[in-house]
Amino acid sequence: MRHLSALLEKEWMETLRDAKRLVLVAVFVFVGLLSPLMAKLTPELFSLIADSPGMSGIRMSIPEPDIFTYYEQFLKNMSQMILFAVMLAFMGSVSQEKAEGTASLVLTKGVSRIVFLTAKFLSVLTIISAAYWLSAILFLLYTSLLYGTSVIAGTWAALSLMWLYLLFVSALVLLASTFSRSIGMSALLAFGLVFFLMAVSALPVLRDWSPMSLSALPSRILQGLATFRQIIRPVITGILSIPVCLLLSSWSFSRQEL
Amino acid sequence: MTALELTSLQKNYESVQAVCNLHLSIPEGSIYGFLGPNGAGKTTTLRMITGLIKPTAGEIRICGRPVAFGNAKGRESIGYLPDVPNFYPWMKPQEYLMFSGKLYGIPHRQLKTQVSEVLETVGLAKAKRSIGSYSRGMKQRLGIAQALLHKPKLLLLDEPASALDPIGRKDVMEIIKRVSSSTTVFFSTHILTDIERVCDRVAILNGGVLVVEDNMDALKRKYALNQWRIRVDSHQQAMRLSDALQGEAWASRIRIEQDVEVLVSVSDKETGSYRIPKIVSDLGLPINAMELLAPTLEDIFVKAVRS
Repeated sequence: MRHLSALLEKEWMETLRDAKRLVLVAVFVFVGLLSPLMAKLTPELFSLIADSPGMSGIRMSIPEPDIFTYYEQFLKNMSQMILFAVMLAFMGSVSQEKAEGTASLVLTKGVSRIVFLTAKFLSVLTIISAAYWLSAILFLLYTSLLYGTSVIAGTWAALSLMWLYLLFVSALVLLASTFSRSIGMSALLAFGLVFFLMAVSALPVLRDWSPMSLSALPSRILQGLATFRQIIRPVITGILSIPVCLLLSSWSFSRQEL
Repeated sequence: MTALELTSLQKNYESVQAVCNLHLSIPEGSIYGFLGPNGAGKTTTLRMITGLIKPTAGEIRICGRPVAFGNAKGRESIGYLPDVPNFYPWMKPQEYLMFSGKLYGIPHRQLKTQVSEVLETVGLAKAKRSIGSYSRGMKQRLGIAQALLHKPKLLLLDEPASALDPIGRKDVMEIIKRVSSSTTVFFSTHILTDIERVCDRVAILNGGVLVVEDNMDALKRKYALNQWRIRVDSHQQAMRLSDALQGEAWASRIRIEQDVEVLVSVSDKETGSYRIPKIVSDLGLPINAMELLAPTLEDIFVKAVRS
């Protein structure tokens, strides 16, 4: 416990001083504020383009944004832009410490390898959670300012599923980082893992259980199209995947020579 | 009591034997020099002791307790400085030492005092910048500080003075001498003068194989040069003495150094001790000085590695 609290304290200090982590939080905030703005302005931008002299004769039919458009924008940005930002920010979490020798110095102070990794997982998942919910709250507040309302049926379930999706991806990134000896290799492995799981999730037999479908479910929940059965399966595998990633990381790390 | 014991320790990298059947027993309270040319297996041995790499075979005991690869137990009593120490670049030295102290379990109030003390000891008391801006020498000093912080029973230092200037090296050797009253020090180096300066015992590793292990006095006796140096008044006298020695069957490798010194290797030191003064006396030359040369660690090292 003493080791874990010292390592968590160190991770917290790093969050406050490391530019990469601060930029990640800024990107979350940016997405929270930009998504409603883009949802509102996109039709206006298209109508301006359609009215411009060079575009005469071309007819554009852009529907007025409804509350679902605002959510679509936010969820799309989370599952795409933020996914890449999370991968870039954390792919070196373990591999960089191994490559630079900072992990070696910590581990020779009587710290067990699983405690070292647990501190990494806890801190990364906490940062992602804090940044995500800050972003989500800003999205809701700004959406209610622009549209007049923001919380609809399924809001909290949809936002929670997206949160779980990001936690799952973060755990995958840490798993890739633990398996790798360099940042380059961990980047390759993290992207490879995500794309592999996306491809596998397209198979009908796995689609219902794959945690990757957590990114698509929020929209369906908001539109009232998702059944409990469709939701619960990826939620279970998503929640279980996080400790499984930690255990797999620990299994691999305990066999690695540093 | 043995601070560190290595039994049949071996490390293979595919077909390469980095460390081969190494047996070492480091007595408590000693300063033990671990010497060898680059690539001899010194760092590999230290990394096996610290649990960072897995031995192919053999056993490691620290203060009598067996330790295993990947298991942190039994390693709380060591302080370790790697050959190229790296720290979190955004931390300040005080912060890194506070972090290390918390990992070691030093109570908070005591920790603050100990951090100030070790920073003073390694000459970093006034360093306030982030570690990222430090030179390699400063990082090495901080590395020594973090290894000493918890007053370990066994201090493992991998090339502790390799990045330091002569004054820094002297400082580090003095620190090692000072802490040896309460700590066993095991340090690797290829700087022979460092070993000569502080070590009680020496092991020489070459190609992963232990070639020599003994205390300094025994090594000097074992690798005695049987070489005498005779100082006369002038170069002319030195030439005459050299010519006279050329005819003796027991004398070899005769040469003149610094104009007035004759160096001669003898078949055994007793022969030299009574035959040389007689020759000098027969020639009617004065002897300003005559001494049997002791082997330097460099001589021992070269002989041991070549043999």
